[in-house]
Amino acid sequence: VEKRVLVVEDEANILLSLRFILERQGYQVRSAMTGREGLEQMQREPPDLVILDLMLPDVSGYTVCQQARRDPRLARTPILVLTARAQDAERRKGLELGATDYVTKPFRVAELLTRVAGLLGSRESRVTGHESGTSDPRPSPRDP
Amino acid sequence: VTFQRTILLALVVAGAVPVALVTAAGLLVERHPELSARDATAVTLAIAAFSLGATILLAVGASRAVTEPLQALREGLSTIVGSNRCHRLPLPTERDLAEMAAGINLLADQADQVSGDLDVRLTAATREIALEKGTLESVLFAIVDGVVVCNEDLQIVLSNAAARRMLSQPSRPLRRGESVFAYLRADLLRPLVDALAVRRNGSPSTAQHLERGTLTLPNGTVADLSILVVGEEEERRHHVLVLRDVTERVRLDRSRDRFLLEAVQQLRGPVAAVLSAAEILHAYDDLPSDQRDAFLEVLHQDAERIAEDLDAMQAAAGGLSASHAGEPVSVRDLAESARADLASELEERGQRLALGGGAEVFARGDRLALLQVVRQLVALASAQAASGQTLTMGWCQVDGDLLELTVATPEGRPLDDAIFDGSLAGDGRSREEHEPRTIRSVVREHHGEVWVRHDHHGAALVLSLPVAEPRPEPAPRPDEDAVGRQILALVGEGGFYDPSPPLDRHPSELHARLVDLSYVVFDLETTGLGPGRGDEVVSIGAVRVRGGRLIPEDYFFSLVDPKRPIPPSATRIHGITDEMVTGQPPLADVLPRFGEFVDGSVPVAHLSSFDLQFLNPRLAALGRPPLGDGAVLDTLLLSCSLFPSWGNYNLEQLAERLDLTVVGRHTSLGDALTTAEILVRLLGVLEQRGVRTLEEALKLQRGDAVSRLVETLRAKQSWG
Repeated sequence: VEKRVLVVEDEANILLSLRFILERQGYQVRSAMTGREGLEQMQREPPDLVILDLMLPDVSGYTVCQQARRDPRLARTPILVLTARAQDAERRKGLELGATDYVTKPFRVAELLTRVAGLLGSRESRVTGHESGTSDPRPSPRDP
Repeated sequence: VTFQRTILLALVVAGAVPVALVTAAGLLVERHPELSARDATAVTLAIAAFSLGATILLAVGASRAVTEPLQALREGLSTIVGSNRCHRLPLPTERDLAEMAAGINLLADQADQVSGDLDVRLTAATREIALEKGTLESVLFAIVDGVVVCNEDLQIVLSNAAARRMLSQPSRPLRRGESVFAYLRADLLRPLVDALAVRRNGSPSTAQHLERGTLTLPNGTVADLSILVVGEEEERRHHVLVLRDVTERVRLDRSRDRFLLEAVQQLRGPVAAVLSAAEILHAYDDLPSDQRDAFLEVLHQDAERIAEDLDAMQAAAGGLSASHAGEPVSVRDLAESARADLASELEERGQRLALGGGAEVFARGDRLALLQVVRQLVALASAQAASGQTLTMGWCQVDGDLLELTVATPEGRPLDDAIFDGSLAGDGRSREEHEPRTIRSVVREHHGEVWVRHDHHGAALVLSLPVAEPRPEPAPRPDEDAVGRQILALVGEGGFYDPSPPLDRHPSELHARLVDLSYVVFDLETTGLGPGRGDEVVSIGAVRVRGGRLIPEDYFFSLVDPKRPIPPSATRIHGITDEMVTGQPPLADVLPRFGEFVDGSVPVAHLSSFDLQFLNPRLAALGRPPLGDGAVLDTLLLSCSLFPSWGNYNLEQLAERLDLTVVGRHTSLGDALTTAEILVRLLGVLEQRGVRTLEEALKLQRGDAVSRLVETLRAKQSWG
């Protein structure tokens, strides 16, 4: 069965490349260019993986993540976040709000495909950040 | 008997007696013609002898009655004028002389009173000046910029520690009296001074003039120098030089410029290659396949290069970011300040904010902006919570490089990320000039993030920031203590007791852990503020703290007979009257007992310098060492160092801040108990902050001279 990948990305050129390489890899690709459109699409037809840009024109990628996680059908869908900012705190926030993994722009095609394959292969267990080595994406601070 | 009558009588007697005798002799000779010439001579001689005797008697009497009282008056007068202003003349029995002496005494009284008034005013004025000077020095001291005040001849009159750090050279420390040109190159400074003079001459004297320049100091510091002239009258005119250390800023600016220049240059090559290859591929569709492949290869390789350059640039830019230049900010301090700021608002809503605490951790950046953010987070959480609920604020280090501060509400509707986009309350910047700052924008400026964490406990607002290294131990500044002591000396009546005696007395105790030590927390009530002016102790109260706990049953209390009247002003404060201390033991008897009670424990007091200036000199007089061998903890100084933002450290305020109830304020035992409870809280805080030994605690309380001084000034004003 072809895996379904939803790409939410507002830069048309990147979207073009992503669609191309993913389709060549044998995935079934859908795309959205705004956060709301992306949410609608994934709620209408839950994909196997979401590739999500954080900087979207309408709502932020974080909000998309958070809202997706509130939908029981999307609660376990891997979300691979694409971002141009690469602060530690931002990564932490994303992972806590439901992102499964991170890729910083610019990215290498090979690297992206490895991550996508990894996420689709381990769908049942939430994969954590690859670089930070975080074991638990949301260790709560000392419970008062 | 009047003086006048005495003299008159003496003259009459002196004149009348010889006349009467001579007359009597004449009559005798006349009535007895049989008397021979020899007899007459004998009679005359007898009369003369009698007259002489009478005159001598008279002279002695006059001397007794007149000369001696006069002499006594003269001596008394010279005593009053010359040595003892308080001496008064004894009143002679003669009424005239007595009136004169009384008059002189009255004059002396009046003179005394006038000079007493003068003394009081002089003391007050001296104190005022000392306080002002102390305040001025504290202010100068607290200024980060170097400040040097010079007279008209550009000789140094006053300088602060920052200036001394910038300008002192190993061979030539900055000293008052020296010419400023000894420290700043004349060829750089002179033109600024001259320009200032020219501008002053050409304009009304009230105009303020300032000259600026940037110069490199002999020690390599790059400084912005501003010079201005203060004082209108010629002889009181001073030059004020303000030096701002811009070394770091200049370094940052230069490396930023270089970075931008290099980054653009570095990108030009690969971008040019990509652009031309793409254009060629686009324009020439008849390219042979080997050339086509070559251009595709160029596209690929140079795009790779650009990607690599970007990574390198981002890494390099990290070191140039402005927030990296900020000060380390204690997250605990932010949390505590925010809580204090919002206390009344929360109270109005019937809410409480509990601090969950956590180990000390530092963020780096703009303290005020971060404080606004934390305040706003609390306000948002408070708006979310219902009345009567308790919010909790906690912080900790996560992941090693990040810290997290959370403000949690027990329940509420799900919160949207957009709440962080509201403009920050109290943002002083004008809207026209800048975009309003939001929680998110400030946090991002600090390379952090904010978000809402929902879980089954409710919602928590999460602020995550990169962890900064804690403020490095400030470099030893020898000036600091010297200035501190100087101001302390100025502030006290006759000088506060030196708070930093040598620490080498009890090495074993100094290195003991704070939690393992036993403490005696004590407090005195006195007849007034100045032992130097004869004020005395009227009661001593003390209580022991052991194992980090207050032992209320282990206390010491004694009233003390001050052997002098207690002024009503003091009684109003502590309620102790003369009657109450009559029959109580004097301090000399109480002190040894108190010493025994303290023995083996560390003495602790609030504003200990006040209490020690009463006790230590008396202990010394009894041949005993100073209390605690000089190692005395001070809850005021410790709180001041631990909570620099609190601003007020008197006993009530502190107790309130630490959620303690105050009982028996202004009784020595009551105050000692309150202080002891404060100490128990502080011991916990010290432990958390990694201050573990007595030596470290003593160092901490002596550490921050500026705040200590300011607090001493302030505490003095609100003492009582």
